[in-house]
Amino acid sequence: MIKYCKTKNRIAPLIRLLADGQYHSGTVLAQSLGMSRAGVWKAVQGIRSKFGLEIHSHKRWGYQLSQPLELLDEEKIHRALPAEAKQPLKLELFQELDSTNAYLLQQEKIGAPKGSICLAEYQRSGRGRRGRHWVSPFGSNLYLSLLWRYALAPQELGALSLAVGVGVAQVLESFGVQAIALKWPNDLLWQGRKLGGILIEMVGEAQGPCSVVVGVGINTRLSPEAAARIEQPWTDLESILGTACSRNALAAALIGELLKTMECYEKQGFSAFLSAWHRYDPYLGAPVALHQGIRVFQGIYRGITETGALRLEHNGKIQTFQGGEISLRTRSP
Amino acid sequence: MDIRKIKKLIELLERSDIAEIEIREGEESLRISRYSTVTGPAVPQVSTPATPQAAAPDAPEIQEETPEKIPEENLVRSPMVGTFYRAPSPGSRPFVEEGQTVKPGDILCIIEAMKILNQIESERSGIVRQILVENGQPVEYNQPLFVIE
Repeated sequence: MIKYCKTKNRIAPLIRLLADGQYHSGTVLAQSLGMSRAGVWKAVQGIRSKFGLEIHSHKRWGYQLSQPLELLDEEKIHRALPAEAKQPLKLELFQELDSTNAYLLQQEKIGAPKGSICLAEYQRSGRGRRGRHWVSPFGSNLYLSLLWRYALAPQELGALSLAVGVGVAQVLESFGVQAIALKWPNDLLWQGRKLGGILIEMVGEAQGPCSVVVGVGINTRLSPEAAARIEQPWTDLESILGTACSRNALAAALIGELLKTMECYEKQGFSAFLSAWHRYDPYLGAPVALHQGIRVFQGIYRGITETGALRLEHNGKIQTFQGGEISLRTRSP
Repeated sequence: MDIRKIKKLIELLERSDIAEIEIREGEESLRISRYSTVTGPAVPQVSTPATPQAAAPDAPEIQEETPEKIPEENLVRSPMVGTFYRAPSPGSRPFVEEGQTVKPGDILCIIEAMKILNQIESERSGIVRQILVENGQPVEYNQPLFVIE
């Protein structure tokens, strides 16, 4: 069930009617929504300004979305879920949220169960790492979060970040993305361009238990307008695959894989993911810069330790790091 | 040894290419090393012997440096190795300031490690007396972060 923020909101049903990408006359839309034609026009304006969706209007034919949308659909997601994930699943779909991670962090406080999942068509303030904005246009990408509760202490969960990266990379590969790469700790790159992001937030006690909210954003289709707001090289699934990718099928596959990842990490820790990580890591021996706050370490990327820490060769010595961000330096010719 | 002196030495080390300095002054010795070989963030490691060896009966007064004992229940320690952040994002207001009153569940800071952001919440009510780490600094497991009374 899609939750509407206001019951009187006509925008959601109107988007549903227009999602097929066909022209719909103002009169027919007005009838099906039980409102006036002027009301339809106003709602169309609302969709344009609020969600940035492009809607063509034509005097005789009516209104048309510039691109058809495959909206999130609970039934379709359920049907596409792998059997082992079908059991009791707390799945919530929203038309819009501030951020799916923020929502689940709130739900965590009021006792939401382990395995709660939410998706939103649109995030008002989608979040990346350290307050960076995650560009979240309506209905064309995937924004998914999952809540898990661990008996483990935070210190033991460090490599979960990499394990989730491996899980998401496997899903993207199964959808036909060749040569998906993971850049430590979990940037999802295709030919050096960002295809998705993972943001993990945690609350809990120093000795455990603690709760983890895993947020995954995948660019399925980015319009040039939305893409203009991204501050780094990007790509989307549709350009890589050359064809549209079903958002519901992708959501189902991600849910299945994430549930498996969370459980497997709980039982076996990161060791279960180490070899798969290496498979998606093409950067061994690459010159990189590690940024830690204001500090920058130049060195050679030497892979990861069995606890997921970065190995950096710096001044002839290999050091390990658990924090910071790496950027690839172009090799001098 | 004067804390300001140690701070100066750390700054000196950071500006230079030297990996390590060791200094002896009477009974005290101090070694500051830029790189640690163990797993952990690269933070200059300061090690001083806990007490001067074989406490000489007429050792000069070096009491001034020992910080007043803070009761364990007033300390908030880091649950993990990572980077300490006082605000949700660069440029936004810190979660708490010194002198501020907090209650259980209030977020005090974020510790980030390998892109996992751990929100550290206060477990008790009280006043934030001291913030022991600067924003953006690496922290060790169990390192004290706040004093709340």
